[in-house]
Parts: sequence; C-alpha cells; structure tokens
Amino acid sequence: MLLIECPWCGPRAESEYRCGGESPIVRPADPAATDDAAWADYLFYRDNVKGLSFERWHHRFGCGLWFNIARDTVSHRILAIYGITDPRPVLGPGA
Amino acid sequence: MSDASLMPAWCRHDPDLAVAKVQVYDAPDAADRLAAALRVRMPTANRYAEAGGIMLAAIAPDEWLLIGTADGLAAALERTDAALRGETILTLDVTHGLVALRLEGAAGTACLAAFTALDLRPASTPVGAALRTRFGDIGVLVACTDDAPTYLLLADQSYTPYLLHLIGQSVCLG
Amino acid sequence: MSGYRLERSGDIDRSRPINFRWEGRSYTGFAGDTLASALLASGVRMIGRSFKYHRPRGLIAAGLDEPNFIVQLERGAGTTPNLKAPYVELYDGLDAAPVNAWPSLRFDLLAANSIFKRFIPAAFYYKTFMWPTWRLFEPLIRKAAGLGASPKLPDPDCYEQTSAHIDVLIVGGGIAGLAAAQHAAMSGKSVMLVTGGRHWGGRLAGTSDSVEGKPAAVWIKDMLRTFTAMPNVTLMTRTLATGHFDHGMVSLCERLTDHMPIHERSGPRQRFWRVRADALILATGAIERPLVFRGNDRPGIMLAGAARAYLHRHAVVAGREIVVATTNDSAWYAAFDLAEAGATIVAIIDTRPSPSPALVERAEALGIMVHASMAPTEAIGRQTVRAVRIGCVSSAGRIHGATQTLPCDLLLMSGGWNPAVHLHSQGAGRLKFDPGLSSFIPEAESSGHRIIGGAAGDFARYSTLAAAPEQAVTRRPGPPQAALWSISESDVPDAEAWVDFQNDVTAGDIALAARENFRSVEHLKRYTTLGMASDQGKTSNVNGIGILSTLLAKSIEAIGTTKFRPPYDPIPFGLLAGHRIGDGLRPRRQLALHDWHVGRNASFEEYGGWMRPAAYLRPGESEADAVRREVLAVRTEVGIFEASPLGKIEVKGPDAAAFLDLMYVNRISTLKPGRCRYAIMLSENGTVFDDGVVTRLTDDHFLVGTTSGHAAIITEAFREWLQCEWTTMRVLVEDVTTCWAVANVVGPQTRSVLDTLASDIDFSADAFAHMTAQRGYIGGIPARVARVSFTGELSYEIAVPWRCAGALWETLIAAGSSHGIVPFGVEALMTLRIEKGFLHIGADTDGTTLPQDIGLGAIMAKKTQDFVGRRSAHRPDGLRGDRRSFVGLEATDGNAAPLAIGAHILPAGTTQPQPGEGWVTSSTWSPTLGAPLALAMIERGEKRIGENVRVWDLGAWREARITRACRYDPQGTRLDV
Repeated sequence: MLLIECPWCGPRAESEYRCGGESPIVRPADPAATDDAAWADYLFYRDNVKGLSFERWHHRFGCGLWFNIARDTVSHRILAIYGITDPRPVLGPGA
Repeated sequence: MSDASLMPAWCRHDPDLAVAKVQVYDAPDAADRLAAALRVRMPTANRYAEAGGIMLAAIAPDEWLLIGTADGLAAALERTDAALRGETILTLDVTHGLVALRLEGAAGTACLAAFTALDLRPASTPVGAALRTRFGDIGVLVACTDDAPTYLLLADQSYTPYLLHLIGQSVCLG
Repeated sequence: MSGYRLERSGDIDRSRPINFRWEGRSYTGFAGDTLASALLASGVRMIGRSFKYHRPRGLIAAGLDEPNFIVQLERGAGTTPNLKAPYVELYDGLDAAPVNAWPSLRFDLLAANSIFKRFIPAAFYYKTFMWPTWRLFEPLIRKAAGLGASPKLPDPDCYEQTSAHIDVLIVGGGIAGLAAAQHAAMSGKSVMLVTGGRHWGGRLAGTSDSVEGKPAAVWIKDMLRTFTAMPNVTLMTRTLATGHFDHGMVSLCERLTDHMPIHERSGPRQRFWRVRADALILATGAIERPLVFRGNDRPGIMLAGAARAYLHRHAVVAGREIVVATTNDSAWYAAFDLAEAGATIVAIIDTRPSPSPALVERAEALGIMVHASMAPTEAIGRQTVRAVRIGCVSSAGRIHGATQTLPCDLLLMSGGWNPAVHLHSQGAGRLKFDPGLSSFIPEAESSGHRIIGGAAGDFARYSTLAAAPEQAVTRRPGPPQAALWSISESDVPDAEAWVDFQNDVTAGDIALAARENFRSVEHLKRYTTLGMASDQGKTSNVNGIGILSTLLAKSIEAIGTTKFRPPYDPIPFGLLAGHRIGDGLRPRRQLALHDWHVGRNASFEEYGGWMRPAAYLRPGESEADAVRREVLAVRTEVGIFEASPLGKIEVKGPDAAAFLDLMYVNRISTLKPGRCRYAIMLSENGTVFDDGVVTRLTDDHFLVGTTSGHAAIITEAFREWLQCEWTTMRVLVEDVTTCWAVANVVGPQTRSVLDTLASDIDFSADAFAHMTAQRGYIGGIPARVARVSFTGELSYEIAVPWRCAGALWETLIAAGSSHGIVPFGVEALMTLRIEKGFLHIGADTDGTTLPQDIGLGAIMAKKTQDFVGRRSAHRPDGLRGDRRSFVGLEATDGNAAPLAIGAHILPAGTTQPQPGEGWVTSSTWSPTLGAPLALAMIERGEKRIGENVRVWDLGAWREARITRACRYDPQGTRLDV
C-alpha cells in the first residue's frame, strides 16, 4: 500500500488513487498523418522498467488531480512528484 | 430518508443542508474574488472558511463547495456569480445529489478509521479540514467541524443505503 | 513416560479448570493454558501424523514456529483448519482434532505411506505416476494430500478492518519491545505496542533469567504497571503483526474472541489493522533451530527453549528422563531450570569441545553428566523416543568413532537461534550472514525502521535495553556459536534426518535437489517444498540453507534466503474481506422512486450498479407475462419508466463544443441550442465505448447523456483528456446524474397525459419537436424536458430535482390514470428497443466493435477533423471488408422461443459446428410482432440481408434469416406526431 503525496492533498493511501501508466505518452499531433506503426506505439507499447519508472497517477477518490511520479519499481521508493505537463526530472544515480 | 431509524446515535442525518459546487477555469484571482464575495478569508487546500452560515471549502484546484442553508446558499450563489462575471465558471446547486450526515465523537472517528485510510490525527485532519476521500468504495467529502470531534460527511445520495449499511457495522473503538 | 504438571508456579490459574476435547476424548486444563500446554501436562505425546509419510509426531515448540501440532478446531460452519496448538488458547468446551490421521492418530491407515517412502521423495509427482496419465492418480493423491479440512459452509463470523496513524509502532512484546515502548512513551508520543500471544515478556517470560537485577516475571510486571499511568501508550495482546508493506505500513491481526468459549462470543471475531507509524521498531525476537540427525522427528524430541517456556509459563515438565543436546549455552539453562523443578537430566551433550567452565560446574553440582564434542546421531523409538545414540562429532557434523546409547523419554535440542527477520525483510531490509551466530541478521541501516533485541541478533539483555532508547545496536558478547547444519555418521546427507517437519522434507531430499541441479535457494524451496508449509519454514529454512551450502561448497551468503512474504502466520479470508461481503461487497444505488416501485411489486435486478425494476408483476403474472403486457401498453397507450440512472454531465466553456467534437464520432458543434443529438463515443483504441443524447443548452453549455451507470467513468474520461492532453481548452465538467431524477412518459397517448399537467411547457408537436429540449415548470417543480425516444414511440424525458421526483411521479400517475398509464421496467424497455433495432452498448457491442460495424462509416467519413478513436478505427483490421456488422435476425423454423444470446451464426446448410461468422447479441419475444426477434453481429451482415443462416447454441440448431436491425416502424412514422 503505497503512500503517495498528492500535490494538492498531501500524503494519502494508494487506495485513493488510480495508476495511469507510463508518462508521458505523447499523442501524435496529426493522427491522420501518423503511420500504423507509430500509432500502435502510441496505443500499446510501454516501457517495462525494472528500476526508475515515470508514471502518471490520478487522485481518483481525492481531489481528482492528475500528476506524475518517478518511482523505483523494485523498492517502490518515490523519487519525485511533478506536474502532469512538466517534463521528466533528471534524477542522478544518488536519487 | 426512510432508513433513518437504522442509524446509530452518534450519526445524524442533516436533511436541510444545501450544497453548491463552483468551478472556475484558470482565473488566478478567482479565489480572492470568491472569498471577498462571501466575506470569508480564502481557505487553503482542503480547508474551509466560514462566515454568516456559509462554509466555503477548497476541495480541489479551482473547485469549491459552498455549504449552508437553502436561503443562505441562494444568496451566496448570486454574489458568487456577480463576483466571477466574465470568467469561465460552472456554478451548480448539487443539494439534491447529496446526502449529509454528521458523525460525532470517538465513535465517529472510529467509523472514519474503519472505512477510510485518512490520517485522522489533528495535525493532518484538524478542525477546518474539508477533503475528498474514499469511504468503503465510494467517494465522499469529509469535513471536521469541531473538536468533539464532529465530522460532516457528504456522499452521493443514491448510495445512502450502502453508506448506512457500512456505518451500522462499525463499532466504537475509542 | 511423558509430560506432567507441577503443583505450583506457572502463569496459569489453578482455580479455573477448563474442560476440553481432543480426538474425541475429554481432558482438563487451566485458564492460561494453551491447547499444547494442557495436552502436554496431561501426558499426551503423539499429537500428529506427518504430512507425507504419516510418521508419529510430537510437540516441538511453544509458539507459531510449531510445525507438528497442527489441529482442526471445532466443527461445522465454524471449523478452522491448521491452527498451531501452542497458539490456541484453551477455552471451556474447546473441541480439537488432528488433521492428518484417519481413523485416529494411533491407528492411522495412511501410515502405510511410510512403507513407500523410497518411492515418494521430494518432487516425486514430477517423475512418477505419469503413465498412462497423471490424471488417473491426481484425485487420489490430492485426497491424501493436505492437512486440515476446509469448511463446507460459509464463515459464520464477521470481521472488521480499521486503519491507524500513530507516532510509534513497536512490534514484539519481549523485553526489547517493552523497554522501547517505555522510552518512546516518555516523550509523550502516541505509542502502540503489539504482541501476537497472550503474554508479555516474550522469550524471557519463559525463563528464570533476571533483568536489571529482578527476576524476569517481576521486571515484566513492573513495566506493565508503568504503562497504566501513560494514556499515550496502547498495549495490545493477541495482535499479530502479519506483514510489512510499502512505505512502512504494517498489518495487524487482532484476535478478539478466539480465546473465549463459543457461547460467550459476540461481535467481530478478528480485526484487521492497517497501521502507518511515523517510526517503526521491530522487536520480533528469535526462533530456535532444531538439530538435524537421524530420527530427530520422534515424539518426545523438543526445542530446549520451548521446554523451558512450558515449565515457566504453564508449570509443565515435558518428560522425566531428559537428555539435552546443544551447540550453544541457552539449552544449559533449560536443563538447570528443569533440574531445579525436579526433573532428571540424564546428560547435556554439547557439540563444542570446551563449553564454559561455569556452566559445567553448575551442571556437575546438579548431578548432570556433561559430554563435550559430542552430538546425537540417532533417536531411537517409534511412537515416542526411548533413547538417543550419541557420538563424537567433527566441526562439519560428521560422527566418528564408537557411539553410546543414553535412555531418555525427552530429548531437548538446540542448534542455535535465528533472529526473526521476516517483517524487516518484507520492509525491504537487507540481511547479512553472521558467522558468530551462524544466522542471518538485519543490516541495521538498510531500511527506514529500527530493529532491536533478538531480532537484531542481540541476545544480551544489557545491550538490548541500551538499544531501546534509539541508540545503535551494539555487538553482542559471548562466544560464537558453531553451526552444525546436519549430523550424520556418513558423508551422505541422511534421508531419515528431518529438516522441515511440517512438509516432511529430509536432508536427503535437499541432497536430491542439489543432485538434480536445483541449486538456487528458490529452486530448492519449490523442488523440495522446504519452507512452504504453514509455518513458512520458521524452524527449517536456515538449516536447509546451511545443508545446501555444505553440499555445494558455497558460502551461505552466496546462497542467501528465499523471499519473505506476508502473512507471517495464516489469517482467515474473512479478515481480508472485512465489510466487503453481502450488501457491502459492491456499492449499489437506489432509484428516486425505489419505495414506489417496491409498492408496485417490481421485481428488482441490478443493472450497472443500480437496483432497477425488471418488470412490475401483477397478481398471477410471471415476469415474462408482465414484460409482454408492459410492451403492448407502451405501443398502444402510455407507459412510465424511471430513467434516473441515465448519465447527465454538464459541460461548459467557450471550448466546450470543440471539446465534444473531439470526444464523439458525431459532430457536436453544429448542434443548435435547444436541440439534441444521439452521439457515439469511442475509446482511443477505436472501439465503441458509450452512447447517449447530447443536448445543447446555450452556445457554451451542453448536457451530455451517457448510458446508465457510466456517468462517473465518462466524467473521469473527460477530465483526464482536459488535464493531461488538451490542457488549454477552456472547459468545465460536472456529473449531475443524481441531482436530477427522470420520468420517461412513452406511448401514443403521452400527449393526452402531459397536456393535462399544470405546466408552462407546450408539449404539442408544433411547439416541441422530436430531439429537442425545453425547460419550465410542472406542478411548480422546475423541470428539464427532452423529446427523446429509445422505444420508437412518442416519448418525453422529464428531469426534476431528485427530491421532487416523488411529487412529479404522483402527478404523472394521476394524470395518466384515465389512460391506464402502465409503469414498465428494464426488460420491457429492452424488448421495445430490440424491436426498433437500437443498439445497447455492452450487449450488442464488445471490445472489438468499431464504429463502421454499427453503421457509422458515413458519419465518420463526413467529419474531417480528428476525434478520439478515429485513427484507430482506420487501422488495417478496421478496413477489412469481412468485418462483422450489426443486423437483425428472425427465426424461420416456426419455433417461438427466442434465439439464445451468444448463439453462433453459421452458413445455411452447415451440419457440424465450425468457426462461426458471428453471434446473437440481443434476443427477445416481441409481442408487437408476435415473433421472436434478435440482433446480431455477423460477418458482412449488412450485405447479406435476406440470407438464410443456421444458429447453433449448446448442441441445438435453429434456422434464421438475416434482416435489417429495425423491425418495427422503420420509417419512424410513430415519432412524426
């Protein structure tokens, strides 16, 4: 049961959230001009990282905010929390 | 509510509470204008401020609940609409969509501890807190209104039988 | 020769005797006994039969590490399998039985398994019982396998759950935990101290040791007394910490009534806690290791610390002629305490060449013989130990030279102590192997919690107490303990030397695994099942790892441990279910007119989380009768239906129209204020996701309709797109579904009813066109009215504030009574819409249905801008010409029964089941057409109208013909009014 710090609400239990998977997933700007392989990549292909994972979370039962988390998938340590439109933070090996 | 008789003594139904939801799109001074219109100081995140019988609760970014009596609320909404004229706003009376319960004392706290994962210690959920959370498997609003403690619980009224079913099961752990 | 009770001492109440039954016979114990201590005191020796070989077994431990004394408690619905007897508190009327013996422990038929031991070693089922097929043997083997019996009736008990947030949680009620709790509490912090058993003091409560100059029992009492003056400390017994999870959450299982006579129990049986503490201290103690030698599983062979605990806690001496075999000092103290209680200690056998002179001196003063550099090599006896053969032992566990035989009726063994690091490891704490202890101890700085006392490998009282106030753990004093992982007279690991008692795994099995190349510790575990029983290898894992390390000539650090997983001890499923049973399993929602529907004898079903009337049954009617009557009433007169669950979402803002254009297949921005449009929403994967009627209120304000039960999900989807993707679109979204109750008045006589209402709304054809919306008042109640039809008849949906629904409904019923207004339910609605060929998301569509499959190809082609799902709908698979499309089906075989939903569609003339061309998606009996009607998804269906097909379901064939989906009023003339 992760303890996740929502940027609006502060620390809350994982049961209040829904994980939205890898982030960011960039929607192609011109879908009509996107070929099948690139579109399939957008729809289905996701990184499956052992270690540092960047994912978006939804505070579904709380304030409803979507935001990003950098999380170690082995230790579950949360290394960074950042806005939904912010770029991935650069996290050094000491993070 | 037809099943009011099923409620334990520390849980009371508040049928006269009126509630409105105000959303504003990205107007940086909307919060201040809203607070000024309602003559309260601006509440911080997940807190409420109260004046003249109206609670203004900041429950999400750019989202507020106004809670009070029906008459008071109608007047407050008029002032709100006036104060935010020109902005993109959505003001809705949601009274009919909600059921309001008051949970009191140690038993009330034990009930919230049984069905939410909130940190109910005063440092995290003080008097003046108003926050959305999960109660069992539904979303609710919990506000701590005094240090008895008394909690106001707002939930979607179509879940009332489910809510009462859970509340009826919780035992005072205090 | 067996156990007996002393006249005095022990933490039991001799004034309160307790009657209980074991194996059908009556026994007596005292308040404060466990099932194990009471039977031990009664002289009962053989208390179980081992899992695989059905060997006679006795009690070896005094806690949750007990592997042999596994019991089935009580009978019937309340029976609980596989409890560990030292953990079962005795209560009046307790009824327990062994789990793995039939018909009795003494005469267990399956003991015959022992004869076949050679053929059923570890993992035999991967190699034997294969011909002609494993399935022949599987039922027999499964029946013989397992321990206790599952209850056949639902659990009659209820369980609670709760969460707690506190300053300090301390797990373990031994002296380390007690001292840490006292220190933490002095600063005024909120402290919770939990222990799994009934008693405080942990291991030391089972000794005569002194702590800070006082006897252990006195020190413990004094500590407990100080807590009574500290309201910030919560002490909980019978509360086992079962797991340590992410970010410091600890789960507790609090046993509320298990210790009480059954007729005195009330309320929840157990409570599950999820605790988050700002600081966590683990003081979980240590677990004694058995010695591994031939015959070490005979009844009458116990762990030395356990025998000492039974003596001090329960005043039970486990035997009369006692031999003690040990690798370390602790067992000597067990021998001394038993000798002072009057037992005969025949000898102390110590594997070390030079045990401490002080210990030897005290032994000699008590008349106890001491044999150094020696170890037991074989226990003799069958249903009870009668003697032990001992010999000189090398540091590698090899017995050499002549052996001697010592008669005994109790053999106490101690191979050392393993810190209980389970919760530490579950909490991502790392371990390191300590050669001094010959065990794994926690790496102190490897995690966010503190670990002290025996659990940290600190067995000295003074350093444990010093560590309590948050100082670093100091190294324990005392000589290193040499570990002998197994003792044998040959170089080959003994196949009769038991390592895991509960799963019947021997040293020979470990050698077998290594020989067959299962050399990693996780493979060793799965191949041999070492450590996989309900005791999770508490007394076997480390010995097994040690034996493997010797066999592979690989260091123990390199082998490591298997992963520690919660729960620490088994817990009931009901505890994890908590309130999520019965009405609490899923939140269900009620309609605004629920009581009225009940009053009209509605038969309720759950639809999308809402309890709704399927039909209203009149006296003598079956549900099918009622549905037929309701359908005809709607087609010929007028009906009324509560449509409150239909989703209603307010969408407002200057970019609302453009946003909805992105959300829907249909163009929304061209909708004029006051008008409604039926629209379909796709997922980004192109599949049909939801449908509903969108109403434009003003230029920048829309009311979006969704399918019943989907409103919350669609609202969340809208907000997700606005927060994550289209972040600059000025749009606000709110779900108002339960703010508005909806009465749907339907049928050719609808206007006759509505025109009689006191309303400012003009319902006439000229004033109120189909697919438009208006607002006004009905009987003084504010209303939003839309002319929308899901049935093909004249239809008005009247939405009023939820609490006004009752008044509106009564008004409509009264107004409609002269026209025989009929309430109708969901089943009638389904029949009506099937007659019209209107699709129902989730019934006629599934996760593969693309918009072109349901006739939206042209609309998609006309809309040039992008919308969610558009690109995916045009993947190669979406452009195939042979895709399934939405059509109707009529039965042509004269059989009035509706086609089965899900029935497969096959070409005419097919005689054998073969890959089908589609299936029936909706089906009903149509009273309007007097025929069964169905809707289906069929390959190239829209190009095959009129073609005959065959329909196959569960072995039965039907004949049918493909038709257009709409079978009633295809021109829509019924709405042209």
